[in-house]
Amino acid sequence: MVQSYDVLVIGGGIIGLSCGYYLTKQGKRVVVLESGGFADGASGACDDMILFQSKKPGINLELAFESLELYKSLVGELEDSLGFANYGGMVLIENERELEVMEEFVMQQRSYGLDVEILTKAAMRKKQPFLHERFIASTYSPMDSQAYPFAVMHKFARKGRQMGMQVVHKSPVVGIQKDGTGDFLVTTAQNMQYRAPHVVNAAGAWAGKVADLIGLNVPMEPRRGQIIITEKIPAIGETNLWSAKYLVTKLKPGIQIDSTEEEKRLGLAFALTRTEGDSYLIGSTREFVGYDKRTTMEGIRAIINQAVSFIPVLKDVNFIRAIAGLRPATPDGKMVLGEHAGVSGFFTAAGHEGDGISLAPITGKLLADMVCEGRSDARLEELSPNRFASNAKEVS
Amino acid sequence: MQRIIEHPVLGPLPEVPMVKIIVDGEQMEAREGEMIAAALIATGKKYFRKTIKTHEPRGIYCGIGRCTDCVMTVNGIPNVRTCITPVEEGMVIETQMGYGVWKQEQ
Ligand SMILES: Cc1cc2nc3c(=O)[nH]c(=O)nc-3n(C[C@H](O)[C@H](O)[C@H](O)COP(=O)(O)OP(=O)(O)OC[C@H]3O[C@@H](n4cnc5c(N)ncnc54)[C@H](O)[C@@H]3O)c2cc1C
Ligand code: FES
Repeated sequence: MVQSYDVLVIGGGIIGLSCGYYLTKQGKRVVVLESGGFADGASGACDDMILFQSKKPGINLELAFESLELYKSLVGELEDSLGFANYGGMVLIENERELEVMEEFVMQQRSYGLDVEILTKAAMRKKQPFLHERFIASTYSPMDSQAYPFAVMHKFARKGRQMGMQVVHKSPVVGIQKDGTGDFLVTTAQNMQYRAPHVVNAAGAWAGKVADLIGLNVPMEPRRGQIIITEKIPAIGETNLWSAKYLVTKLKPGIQIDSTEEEKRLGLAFALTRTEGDSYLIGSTREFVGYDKRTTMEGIRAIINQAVSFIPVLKDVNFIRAIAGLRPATPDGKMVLGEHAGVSGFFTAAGHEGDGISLAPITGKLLADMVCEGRSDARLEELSPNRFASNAKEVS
Repeated sequence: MQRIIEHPVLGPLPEVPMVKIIVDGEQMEAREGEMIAAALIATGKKYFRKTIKTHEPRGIYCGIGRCTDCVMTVNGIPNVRTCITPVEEGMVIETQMGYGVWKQEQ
């Protein structure tokens, strides 16, 4: 039997559920098809940061501002705290070279409207008394926030269902066709068929494979991230933290930063956030290892050693879990959002890499506007899937 | 002192040197090598911490390092499982409120 809808969303991670929620809110009949279960993808194995400081001025930073405002209104709309909190964030600076790059970056971000400053060592230590002595300064932004991804996904699904959205688990999409009427016919591994005039590919790191089912090209690579979760502990400092080192190498690829071979291979960067449950999430790695989402001894050990070298009191803290997820990474570091020129009615919303939690609400909202009103901002042009060449293979 | 001096299976309690520990500011004696929890129970202390939300007293529960019910602040480190941590001469042991606090001089 074929079931008919207005929109089929493929992938039930935070992006697929956000798209489903905002589409349903605009009156569409939506089904979200997820190959696994709840929170099976990256959205169930990640940190919880809504970060501004890591973003280069441009579309990502702009959308992050809008997403933060949406998060604030979602707390009421979805009738849940969503683990939303606003502890602010600090980027830790180890030496003069990093300081120079960060000073310039902070200036750029300020001119873009981000509330961020450089703190002296004394001011930094006042907010973070447990830091290792070696840090010479830090940035501080009161805007950096966080939300609990499981709660966000769960409440998108709950509210969506109340309005008629369907979420079907254990339904890997294995075939996508366009039939004579111009509708899409989507087949799952169970041989269930779904029909709709619109399809949204929100399959995260798997979005390339899903696009491939209808002959489209979406270059997407899984980038593994491992993190550890501590027991409940007394607070360490006032804000969430991460290291300038990673940001500096991203901003100024030419600059010499002393990293060990292991650090480079693992793409190790320090990130520390306090959860609503008083545990800490400590990360993380950024590795290209295909679709392998296991944790590794090497990764966990490197994260722990790094964490203790940043905050020595952590040496006496137990970690209770280690998890890994696959970030969806595009070649140019920007998400893919929009309709494919070759196949009208087929949209992709994926490729958020390390920003999918921050950007989920705005992604869903923009996608719903595109589908429902055929509307797309000119500023979103740079996110269009059509930016990747050899895309336009006409399917009838 | 509440100790089993004559155990039906293990026999008599062997002689061992004693160490001094400080529990909530009070000096006490413990048998060298025994776990903090054992030493405290021997002194009659029943609660080791209070829970963070409802401030209920907690003490030993599993006794084998799994449940974390017995945690205290030991030498300034919060959340130490006292049932699997041996006493040491001069050890400072404190009843913990909630998750405790970090002592800064680490
Ligand atoms: C360690 C780590 C830390 C991170 N920290 C942060 C952070 O602090 N802040 C932040 O904003 N972001 C963070 N991220 C990034 C964030 O997790 C991702 O960007 C986000 O989860 C991507 O969401 P998604 O819905 O696109 O992908 P996913 O959650 O992976 O969802 C895609 C879903 O599609 C399903 N699927 C795949 N193929 C098919 C198919 N054929 N049919 C049906 N379903 C299919 C998958 O099962 C999966 O559930 C982090 C990621 C990691 C790994
Ligand atoms: S009593 Fe269970 S861990 Fe100590």
